[in-house]
Amino acid sequence: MSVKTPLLVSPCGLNEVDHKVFRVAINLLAGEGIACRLLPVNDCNGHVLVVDTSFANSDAILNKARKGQVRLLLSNDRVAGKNLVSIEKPVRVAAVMDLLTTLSRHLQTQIQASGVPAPGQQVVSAPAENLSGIENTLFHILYHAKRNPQRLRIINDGLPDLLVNSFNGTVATSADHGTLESILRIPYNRCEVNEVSETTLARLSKGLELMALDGVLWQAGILCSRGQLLTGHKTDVPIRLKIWPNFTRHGFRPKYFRIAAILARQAVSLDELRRLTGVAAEDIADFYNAAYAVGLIERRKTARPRHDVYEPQAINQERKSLIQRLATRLGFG
Amino acid sequence: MLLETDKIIFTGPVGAGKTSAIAAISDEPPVSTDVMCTGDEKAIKPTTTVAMDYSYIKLEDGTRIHLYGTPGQERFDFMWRILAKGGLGLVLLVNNDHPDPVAQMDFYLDAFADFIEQTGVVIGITRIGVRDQAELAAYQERLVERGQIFPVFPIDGRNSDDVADLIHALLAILES
Repeated sequence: MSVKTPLLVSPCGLNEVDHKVFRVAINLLAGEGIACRLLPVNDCNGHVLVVDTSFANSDAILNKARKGQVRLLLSNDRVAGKNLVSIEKPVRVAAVMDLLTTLSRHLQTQIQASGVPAPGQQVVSAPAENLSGIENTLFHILYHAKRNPQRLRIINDGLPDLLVNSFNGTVATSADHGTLESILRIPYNRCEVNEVSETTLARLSKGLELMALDGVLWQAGILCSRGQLLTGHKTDVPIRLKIWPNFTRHGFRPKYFRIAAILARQAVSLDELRRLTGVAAEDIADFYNAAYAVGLIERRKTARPRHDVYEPQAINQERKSLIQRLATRLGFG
Repeated sequence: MLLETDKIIFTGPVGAGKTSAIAAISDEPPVSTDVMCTGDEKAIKPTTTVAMDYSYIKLEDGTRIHLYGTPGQERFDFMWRILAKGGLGLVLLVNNDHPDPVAQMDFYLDAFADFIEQTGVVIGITRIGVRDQAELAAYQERLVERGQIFPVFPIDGRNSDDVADLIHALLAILES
C-alpha cells in the first residue's frame, strides 16, 4: 500500500454555505485518513469539479471541464453522463464525505499519475516493496495492532471495512463469517489501512456487529500463515499452552485438538510436537502463530533434551481402540 | 448398565443443558428421568432430572458408547459417583446465565476431582453471548488460578457441532 496523494476538489460554483459544508467534510475525512484538498475558488483544475447548477455561470464552468475530470453537480434534477455525478441539495456533510470517499478510492490511479505531492497523511507504516509471506497479510497488521494499541480502518476493495480497536479488543464490521474469511485472505498491499481517531471509529462503527479482536486475530493466523512461522520464532524451543484455545467458532481444524491436548499437558518444541502428533509442520505453524498472537503460548528459554519429553502413556490398547473408533464414528478420525 | 465402562458422563448444574447436549449427539433420543421441579429450581426450568439421562452412540461394530447425564441438583450427588465409575471422561456444562457460573464450575471440578485426574474433562459454557471471548476469560482465569488447563468452549447444547467439539477435545485429551 503506497501513501496516497490527495483528491483535489475544485469548488468553482458554490455558495458560501455549501463551500463550508465541503470544507468541514474534507477536514473530517482527514481525520479518517482520506486525503482530500479543497482548492481555491478560482482553481478549476482539481480532480473533481463541483458546481451548483443553480449558479448563474454554471454552464460556462462545466464547459471548461477537462477530460477525465469528474463533474460533481449540486442539483435535485437527475443527471447522467460520463464522469458526471450529482448530489442533492441542501448539501449535507455526511453525503459529501461518502461521495468523496468513493471518488478518492476510484480515482487513485489517476491521482498517482498526476504526481501531486501528498500532504501529511496518517497511514499505518507501509510495507516494503519486497514484502512477502506472512508480513504481507492482515494477520501481520492485526498482530501488531494487538501489541501496539491502535484504532484502524481497514478498507478492502468492494468488501466491508474492518474497524479495529485494539484499545478495547474489538473489531466492528458488517461482514458475515464467510465474508470475513475472504477479507482476511486479502494481501496487505491490496488493502488500505488507516489510523483513525476515537470519534471517527465510534461513528463508523455505529450499528455494526462487534467481534472480539482475539477471535478475528485467531482466524487471521490460521488463514494467513500458510505454514510460515512468525519471524524470529524457532521450532526447537519448548512451548506450552497457558490456556486451551477456545476458538471453535472461529476456525478450528480437527488436528488442532490433538496439538492443544499435548501442549496443555507439557512443554515441547514444535519439532517434538510434529513427532508426537504426526501433524504436518505447516499445520503446526498455523496453529502456533494463531495461538501465540492471542497470547496463549508460553515459550521456554532453552531447548530441552529429548529424553525429557513426556510420551503419551501406553494406554490400555482396548481403550485406545475404543477412543479411536468413537472418533471415527463422530467424524474426527 | 451403570457398571459399563464405555461411557461418557455429562454433568453440571440444573438447566445447564445436559439433556439437550446428549440428545444432540446421541443416536437415540435420551431416556430421561425428569419430574416437575418443586424447589427454587422451578425458576430455572419446570422439570429436573432425578436419576439420570441416558442415551448412546453406536459404533460400526455395534459397540455402544453410553452417554449419561447426571442429575443437576446437589441432593442427588450420590448418583454422580455411581454414574462416573469407570467412565471414559467428563463433559461439564455450565450455564453462563447463573449468578455465579465460575463458582459452579469450581464446585463440579472439585466434586469430580478424582475422576478428572484419572481421565479428563472438557467444559462447555451454555447461554453465552456474541462477545463470547470476553465472557470466557473469567472461566479461563479461574482455571489458571486452579493450576488447570482444560478446554472451555462456548456451546449451544442443542447444536450437535458444538457438542461434537467438546467430545473431540475430550478424546484428544484421552489420547494425549
